Amino acid sequence: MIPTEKIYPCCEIKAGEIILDGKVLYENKELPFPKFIKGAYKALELNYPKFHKMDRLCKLAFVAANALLKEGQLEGYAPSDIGIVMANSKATLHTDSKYADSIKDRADYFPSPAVFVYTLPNIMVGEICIKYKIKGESVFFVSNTFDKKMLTEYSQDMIETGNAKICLMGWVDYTDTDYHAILYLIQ
Amino acid sequence: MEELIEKLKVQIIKQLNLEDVEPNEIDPEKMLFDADNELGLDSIDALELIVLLDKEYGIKVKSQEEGKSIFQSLVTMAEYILEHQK
Repeated sequence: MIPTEKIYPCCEIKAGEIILDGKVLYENKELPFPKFIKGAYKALELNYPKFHKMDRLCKLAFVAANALLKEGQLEGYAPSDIGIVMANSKATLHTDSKYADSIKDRADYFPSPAVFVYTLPNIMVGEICIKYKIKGESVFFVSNTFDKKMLTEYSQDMIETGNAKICLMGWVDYTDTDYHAILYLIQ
Repeated sequence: MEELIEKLKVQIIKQLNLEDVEPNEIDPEKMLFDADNELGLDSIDALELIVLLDKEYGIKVKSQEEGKSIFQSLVTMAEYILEHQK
């Protein structure tokens, strides 16, 4: 008998759609990313002022995580029992470029702390941890493609070795021309 | 004063990287660093506002206490700028 793949709760955001466990949760395919994600933030009633300060990559991760966890799926877990395993291919390239642009003119040199803080991809993990008070193990990979099998096995290993009891796992990538987030809750 | 406040709204959105906030969503009377303020500003943003005053208006904030009174709201920022702009 061929073993069937276990189905985990999943939220995916791409091409103007937020899909939760196969159902469209929010859709607006006409809008550019900044307006789309703000529309999603309002529609999902996230009410988290720090959202407005985040860069686009963090907004994408934050909305995906909130859509996946909005029914209190982490309730009952100790903060140190919740792990995060994430990856993407472009790290923080969009914000890196923005920051580089802001400091290229030595005669008009005003480095921006508000931009600089988003020039490391694990800031996404940090923003989710702050919102959900997560204090467990976390790891962030940069790789060419979304290796779901490897990331799932990594999450399962964290759970099997007692380093977590539940794990938020997935891929969140943003460029000027495309975006894609897919997050799973591994239990 | 009103014109300056509108200009400050645009400058703050740019400086603080609040790309999805519209100027009309910022209440000039509201405490900028209050926990209830929907902009969610923190200490990093305070640094950004100090940079903004220096860069755009040639005003240097000399102490933390002075900063606290200047950055209470957009109205207090505008009043300070009108008094001290070089």
